[in-house]
Amino acid sequence: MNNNDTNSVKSALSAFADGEHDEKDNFALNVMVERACHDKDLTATWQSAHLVRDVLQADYHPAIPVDFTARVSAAIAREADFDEYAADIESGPSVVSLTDARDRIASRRNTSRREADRTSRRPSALWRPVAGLGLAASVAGAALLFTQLQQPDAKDGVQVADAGVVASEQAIQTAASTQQNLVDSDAQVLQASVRIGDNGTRWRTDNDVTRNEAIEQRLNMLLTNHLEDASMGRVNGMISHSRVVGYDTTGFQSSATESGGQSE
Amino acid sequence: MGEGSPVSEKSNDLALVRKVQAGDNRAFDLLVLKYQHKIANLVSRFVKDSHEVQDVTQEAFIKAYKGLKNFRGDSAFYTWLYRIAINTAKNHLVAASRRPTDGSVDSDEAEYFESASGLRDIADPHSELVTDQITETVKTAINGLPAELKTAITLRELKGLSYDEIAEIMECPIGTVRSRIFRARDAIDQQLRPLIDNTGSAEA
Repeated sequence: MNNNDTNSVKSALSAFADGEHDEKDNFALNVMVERACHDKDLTATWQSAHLVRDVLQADYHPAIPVDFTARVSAAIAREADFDEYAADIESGPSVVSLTDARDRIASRRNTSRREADRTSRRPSALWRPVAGLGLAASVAGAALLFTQLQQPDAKDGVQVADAGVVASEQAIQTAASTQQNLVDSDAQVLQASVRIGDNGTRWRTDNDVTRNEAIEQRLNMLLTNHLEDASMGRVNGMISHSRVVGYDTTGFQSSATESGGQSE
Repeated sequence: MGEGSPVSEKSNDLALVRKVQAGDNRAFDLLVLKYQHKIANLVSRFVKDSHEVQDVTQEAFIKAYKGLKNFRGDSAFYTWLYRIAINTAKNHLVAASRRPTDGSVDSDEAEYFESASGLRDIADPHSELVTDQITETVKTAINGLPAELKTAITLRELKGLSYDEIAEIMECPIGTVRSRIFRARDAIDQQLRPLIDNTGSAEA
């Protein structure tokens, strides 16, 4: 296109912007509009003409950036892509892999006339379903983890009780053995009666004669800490590797006091 | 908007609308370029934040584009577009749980409202600077024009006179008026284009 031709079209475009074009000459009008749509220089001329008008008529608004048209075009292209993709999903196979979806959208983008809007502040509408899927997967994962954390607790109610019974039986055996030793050493034959209380976490004897308070406290301390440790071992993840610090230390304190007293 | 030749203005828009309806989306770009600031001014009657004004204006144009296939041309395109912009702005306020301002305008009177000079306080400093630069460049360019070009473009843009009326006032043929207005615009464009290009690349 030479300068004379360009100026001729620009002059016609200027008149068209004023609504002063020749309405009878549709062919010339269509040619001019066609060129104005696809020639960047003519589009810029159109933009400049209306910008001058907006400034002079005080219609110019500072919120509208210079590249506003490109942003609108990009937004329209994005919405068209999304609508087309949504229509494909409704009419096509219900199961589409994310890779296929991404490839199909990318291919449409490549064939689209519109330039991508790099400056858009809004996230792409095409990623909304993917983001939604990711969010749903995250929620499902969190729910699964929560369920797994809860189920062992439910089992633990039974398992801890079982452990409590086993530990109690072991404690009974240990206590019986200890008592037997005491009986042997004192050469007394006493009937040791034992009862289990406090849901299997405490051991005590009814026989005041054979009762040894230090041994009783130490056994109770070991029994309590063992049950805490057993219940923690049923929890998944890193928690099972943690250890509960024994809080029932009366046995140790009594033993220490007792041993200290003996040394004196 | 100028007072001259509303019928031609309507057919002017209709020619672009028909191209969009025929599948040429580039024609819609020309409509956006023509009405973007007017629609933004209209939207700013409802929405005060400059970023929201831009978003709502963009949304209005997208809705217009989507609804264009059903536009028959019974009413003027700009009346139809203004109605969409007003509804979009009101819906935006409802979505944001805000009540429309008392200064609302309907589409019938929308094209006649005075431009909102009070909107300056909502623009950010960069937009303010760009606005000042563009305004100053246009005024400087017009003041630097030869007298006949300056008179022609001023009568057209500020007074809104038709080419016939300008030809009568300037005592010259319509073709000369057309040529003078084009040359005036071309001269202004020479000074404005670098600023637009620099601003566009800075915003991108």
